[in-house]
Amino acid sequence: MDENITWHPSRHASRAELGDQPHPHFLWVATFGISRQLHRWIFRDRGRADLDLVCAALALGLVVDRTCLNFERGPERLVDRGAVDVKGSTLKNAVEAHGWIGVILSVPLFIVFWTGSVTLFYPELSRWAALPFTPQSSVDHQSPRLGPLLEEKLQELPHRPESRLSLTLAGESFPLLKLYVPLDKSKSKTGEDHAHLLIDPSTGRTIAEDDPFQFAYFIYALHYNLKLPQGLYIVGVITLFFLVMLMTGLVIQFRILLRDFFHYRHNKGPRMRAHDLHTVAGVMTLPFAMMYALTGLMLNLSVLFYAPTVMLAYAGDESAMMTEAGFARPQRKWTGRAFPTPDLDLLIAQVERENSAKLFRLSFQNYGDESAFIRMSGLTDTGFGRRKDFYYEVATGTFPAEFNSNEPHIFRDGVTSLDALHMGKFGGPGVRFLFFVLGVGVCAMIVFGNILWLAKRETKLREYKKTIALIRSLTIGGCTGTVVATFLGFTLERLLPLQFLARAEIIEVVFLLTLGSSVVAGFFVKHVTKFLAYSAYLSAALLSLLIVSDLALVGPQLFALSSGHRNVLPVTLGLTLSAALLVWLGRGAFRTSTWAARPNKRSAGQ
Amino acid sequence: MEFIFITVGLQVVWWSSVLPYLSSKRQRLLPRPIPRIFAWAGFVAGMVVSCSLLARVHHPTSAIVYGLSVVMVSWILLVLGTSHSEHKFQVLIWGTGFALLTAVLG
Repeated sequence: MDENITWHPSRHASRAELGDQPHPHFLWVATFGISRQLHRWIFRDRGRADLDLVCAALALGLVVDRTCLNFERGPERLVDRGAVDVKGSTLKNAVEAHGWIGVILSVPLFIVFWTGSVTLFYPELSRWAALPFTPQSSVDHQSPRLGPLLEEKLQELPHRPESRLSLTLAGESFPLLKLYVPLDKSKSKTGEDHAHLLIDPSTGRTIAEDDPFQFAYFIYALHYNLKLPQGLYIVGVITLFFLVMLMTGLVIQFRILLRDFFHYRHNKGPRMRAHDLHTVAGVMTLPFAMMYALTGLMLNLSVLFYAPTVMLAYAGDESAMMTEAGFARPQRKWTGRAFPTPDLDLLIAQVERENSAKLFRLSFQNYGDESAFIRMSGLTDTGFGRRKDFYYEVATGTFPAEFNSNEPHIFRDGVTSLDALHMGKFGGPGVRFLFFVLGVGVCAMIVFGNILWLAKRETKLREYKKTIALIRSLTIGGCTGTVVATFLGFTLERLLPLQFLARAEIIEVVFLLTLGSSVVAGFFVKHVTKFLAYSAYLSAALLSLLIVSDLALVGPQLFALSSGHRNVLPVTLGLTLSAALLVWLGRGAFRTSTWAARPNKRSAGQ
Repeated sequence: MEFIFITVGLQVVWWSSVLPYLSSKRQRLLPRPIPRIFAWAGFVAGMVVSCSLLARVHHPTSAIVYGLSVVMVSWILLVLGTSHSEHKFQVLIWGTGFALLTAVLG
């Protein structure tokens, strides 16, 4: 076993190195006692939950102290005394747990992080995909008004009037109006239960009856549910284990965290480099990864506290809980008495002016009825979360205070802030760019962790060649396959004719086939770094094809640089930069094409 | 004006992040590490200044998260850049360029 790449107690600072300091147990006990007294004094009027929390934190501190910190004495000395069994120690268990959980969950975790990083640019990618449909509006052209346009489109469809319909406005994320209408399936010509129209806002013409550009959304769906049944909860559980990995990683690195913070041995061979890259990326992106683990956990497994709260505290009354949580929604029944819809353009202008907001979607409840409500969703210039919903009651022409409270609400504001933090919505594209770089850093950490695990086990478990090859194919093949499949998907998004009926489905199938092919190829490769290098070259080639296609097919729209196109050109520039970076990485991987997991000559000869 | 605030703010974060690196025993830019107290004091002061500048454009919490994100990326860039670059000081130019690119994006 290569001791350079696995944790070895003797590498950690011993007590002698640190100086003969007193044992810190008494400090913990003293802190515990003082904290209990302070807590009774400060929180005496509050519930026992606070007390339990403080006690739990201190108990955890004691546990950590009794396990990890004991290594300050130097493990050999403790073993000699019989005080600690190193084989059964917390640290060794942490290393094992970290490695096994990591290798088992690496591919879904990689997919979640990679697709999440790409999804940060969802608005830009959606707009980039829809470039062929970008309307060429002229200055003297009068755009149709939204109210009559909506009325006209609804008359053409057998819609269910009491159901909710939504109109996504043309803007920075998409150049066209998107109208989603639930249909009466028995009267629908297509047999579908909904229509999803794309409308040119400058002419009012319906361009497509279904959105052909679905790949950015597919990537987003992969991020939060992996396109699996009950995927939301599966991703939630994966996120939970990711949190465990972060904690075990922290325990492993705890003693040398500060000392080796900037430690990277680039000239000590590929295995050592993989180890240091895994550690550097893990330690430096720790706050970022921790933030994503916690916010992801809360977003995906919120059902764990949502369902019991509704059942136990609100006796099944979901509406009452949502109201108290700050998410009151109007629930009105269809009356059958017609009522005219107000001028939507004037209404939008009024809300945007009075609230310094930019609206992006209108949702209609009971459209055309006296009980109608319009929910207007937008982004404001103030606050961290920025997103805000405005509820307009059509019959009274007002914004009822019960649904439009401007008072701070700790739960509602907290949830909005978590969502903004997770999706990088709280800042501009610069913040999302930084989050993307850090997200790719976490992906790199996962890949180097896999290489490291394989390197260690390949040497130890030479008799299980096929098992190791299978794990290699599932991990390295799966991770690189995800990247290649993503770039291939975007290339097809540009190149496939728009007339293809199952265009979106074809791209999704190609994505999955590419991922599967990469997993199969990973089973047969003998040189991991060469495999990584070829994957990087292939990705760069696909991106180059994509850039050429962009210039050839949508060049004029791309360089028009009108206000609506400005966020599209950076996508093509970003893809160009990514292609150059992939070539550079491929070259680097090719140069060090000594397989990281190759058994070294010394151990092979033994 | 917003662009200036963001540009100056991000440059201050970048150069502040260089200081703790230079105080580390693992740094590769100087013959000897600089004093730790000076480095960390400079880092904290720089972060306060940069977050104040960024907070003139973004929400204060956004400004802090923005600043911390730049710190994380900067430290990764410093570690990898100084190790793999033939001219070690080139990494300072890359970092400046990276901060400028982020500022241009907004």
